[in-house]
Amino acid sequence: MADKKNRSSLLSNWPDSPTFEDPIDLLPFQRDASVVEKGFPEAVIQPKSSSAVGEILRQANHDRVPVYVRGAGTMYAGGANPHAGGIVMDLSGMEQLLEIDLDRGIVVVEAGTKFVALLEALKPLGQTVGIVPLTGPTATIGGAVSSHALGTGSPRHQSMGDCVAGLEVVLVDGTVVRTGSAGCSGAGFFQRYCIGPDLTGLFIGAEATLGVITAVCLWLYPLPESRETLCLGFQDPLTASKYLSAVQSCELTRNMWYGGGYESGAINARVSAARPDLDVGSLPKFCVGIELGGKQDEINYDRARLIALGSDYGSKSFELFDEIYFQKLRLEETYWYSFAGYFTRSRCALLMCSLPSNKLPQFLNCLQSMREKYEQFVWGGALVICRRGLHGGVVTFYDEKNQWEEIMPAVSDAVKQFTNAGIVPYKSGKIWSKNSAHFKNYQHLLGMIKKGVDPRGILSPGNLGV
Amino acid sequence: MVGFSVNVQKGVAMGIDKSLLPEKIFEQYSTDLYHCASCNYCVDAVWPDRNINHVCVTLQHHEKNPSYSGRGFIEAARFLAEGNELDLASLAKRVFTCTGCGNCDTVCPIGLRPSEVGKALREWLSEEGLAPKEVVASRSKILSDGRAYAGSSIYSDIKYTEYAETDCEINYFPGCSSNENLLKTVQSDLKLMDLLRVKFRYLDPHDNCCGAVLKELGEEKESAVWAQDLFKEDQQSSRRNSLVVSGYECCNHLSNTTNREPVSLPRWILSRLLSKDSSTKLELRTKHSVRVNLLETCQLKKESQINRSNPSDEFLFREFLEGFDIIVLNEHYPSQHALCCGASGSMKAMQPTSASVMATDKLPTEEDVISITLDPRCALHYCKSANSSNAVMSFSTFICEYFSISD
Repeated sequence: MADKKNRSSLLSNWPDSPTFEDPIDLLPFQRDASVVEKGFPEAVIQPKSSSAVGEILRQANHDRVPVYVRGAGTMYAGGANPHAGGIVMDLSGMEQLLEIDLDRGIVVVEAGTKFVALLEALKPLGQTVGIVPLTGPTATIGGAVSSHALGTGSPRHQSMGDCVAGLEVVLVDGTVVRTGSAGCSGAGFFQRYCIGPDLTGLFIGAEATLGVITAVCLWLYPLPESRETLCLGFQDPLTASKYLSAVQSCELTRNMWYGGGYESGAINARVSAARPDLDVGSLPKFCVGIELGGKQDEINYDRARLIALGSDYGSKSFELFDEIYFQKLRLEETYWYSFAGYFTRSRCALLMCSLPSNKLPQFLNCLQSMREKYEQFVWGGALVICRRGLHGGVVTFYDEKNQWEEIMPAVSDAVKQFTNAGIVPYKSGKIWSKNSAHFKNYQHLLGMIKKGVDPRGILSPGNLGV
Repeated sequence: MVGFSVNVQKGVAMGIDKSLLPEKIFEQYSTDLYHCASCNYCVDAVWPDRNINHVCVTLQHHEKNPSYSGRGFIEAARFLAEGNELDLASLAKRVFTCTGCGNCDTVCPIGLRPSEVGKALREWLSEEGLAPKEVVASRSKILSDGRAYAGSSIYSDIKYTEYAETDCEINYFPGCSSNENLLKTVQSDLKLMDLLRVKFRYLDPHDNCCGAVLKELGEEKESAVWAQDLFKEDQQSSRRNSLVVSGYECCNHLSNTTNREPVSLPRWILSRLLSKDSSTKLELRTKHSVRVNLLETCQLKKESQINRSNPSDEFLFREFLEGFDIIVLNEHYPSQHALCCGASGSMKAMQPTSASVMATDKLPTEEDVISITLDPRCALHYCKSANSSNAVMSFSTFICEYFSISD
């Protein structure tokens, strides 16, 4: 870590980048939305351009001052928490829409642009982007790429990274580099590859450990003409998982705008809240909620096929759930908080993971065992249907005033249980990396890359365990 | 005193220690302090479907620094509650730069009250003598003048009929902002009441402040005393005429500190004009199309604003205008998330330049667009910020100038 003299030389050089050092200004930058412990930044800088980011990084690298990068801080990964101190680089002021090129089918934005602001700009052009996280009104696009977000669009595109056509990244030595086709001067953005391996992918989900993403090029997609929801109820998660595998293998996700899986606890809680008179014992044990988007005739066709395929696995239409919850969630775009907040109004720990569809029963078994072992918390499972497999979220609501010391051991225990069940880390890097024995060689490679691009280790030290 | 300490090395809350936050604040707001999920909605959210285009006007126009936002207030209060020392002068500077518009409360997806935490901190810091010097100066001026708006009184220029108390239907309180250089506004208010044949008692024609502005400056207790003093006569009267008040901040303050539930003047007049039983006839004077820019009032933020079965004043006004084919340019008026024009809270005392920018930023550039507000205090602030007494009209001035009114 840098000494005081170095820090002051670093902070005094940037007249165009607001800098905060007053301890009260640093408080909102100690942590993100995750359960990961807070860090203690020594200063916050808000650069307004990639060249300013480059100059700051060059100086920080010279002075060996750690740099953590932050968008809106809505991540559940702890990546923005400055555990090694140093400075937090807040990119929320870099929110220019740089380019829309309908011929190439791309949009380029600065990293601090908010999703919903971008969607609003694209709407008059009849365009949208592939993935929109459930924190859309506040989440920044740079943050979502850096943490590999998911959400609306996952059934068609899988994850945020799969929608990125190229990046502008500032390296630790201050070099500003464009990846993909834009890596070749004069070519501009249109595809994510240039010579050699996928260097765009190198920075996706890297939580600012390898470089600072300052601009993102996303592929454009037409806005759907129509949107409709559909909910199917299953009598057990095993048949639901087989159904999901069948849907994915025949590409029935192609017009799926969003897809979620709801376990019994989530179904019962939502139905009970809306219809206390109903006996929850008669409700399905698993629900697949689907939002279709596209041309009406395509939606009609896919809807009929999804229902027919579901009946092969014993599913029935679950209109009650659609009416009281899913339609509202999707068509009114109520975003994350109504999605999660039915449990309780509190802070939550969110452990994100990925699983093949046929591991759905194992995921739910792990969740159930956590419920039994840690009864003091409210546990929920959130499942997002992807083009292949599922993204899973283990949501643990806790009372930060009285349960702080108990929550992290419980989450760490969940990490072990899920990893043992063959469920793999996704996002939540700081939490998963504490249990890196399961991906030792993978971590070794990450470490080698880190050493190559950031030999002094100043970029987000501790994130991803590197 | 109950609190939690932070182990700085580990960065974790570690059991009970001495809190540096007053116990009454901790008790009242501990849910807000400990349940905040850092979603950032109260700092800056963009959600066009709900007409949220940024949330915190202070961050938009003064300093893009979350310590000035609702979340910043929560973080600071919690930090103190956990026994950590904080420079209270820095805290005071931030909480007193807040406009108190309450957007952060209405946007919070889980119902927390960051703005209320800020107000509690303001009150505490004032009690401790730690309010910033700009606020103290502003407060002292109000305390010595008896009114928040200390311009020359226009009372002597106002002509109105004095009715016998027993004949009066309402008690009318224009508020001190109405009376500072807004002669047209007060005259229009009175003219409309006259045309509607309303017999009213003009309460306190000496422009005294009801205390609402003092409250914003952290003088909670004194502001309540002022409200009660000002309305002593009204409250003791055996006749319970409706109390009709011009300013929304005054309405809120009087509602909270007296046993009266005031009705806003716009609501009262518009309800009369829109009533099916009304014999009053209105006709637009101009044959040209009229385009208006309606300026929202952050102090009027209630559920009723977007509920058509219980329409807010702003909704009533829009309905009134559209009934005459007047073109309302604001697609989303009214909404629950009005950005303050800078008139509210202590922003104007602390950061006058930023407060002016907040106002002028909302004014249209086209010359043929008429900007209208329902709140006289906002009207005053807009006109001062734009250096033009015609920059913004009150609703009553607009009606008087653009309509012929007859029985």
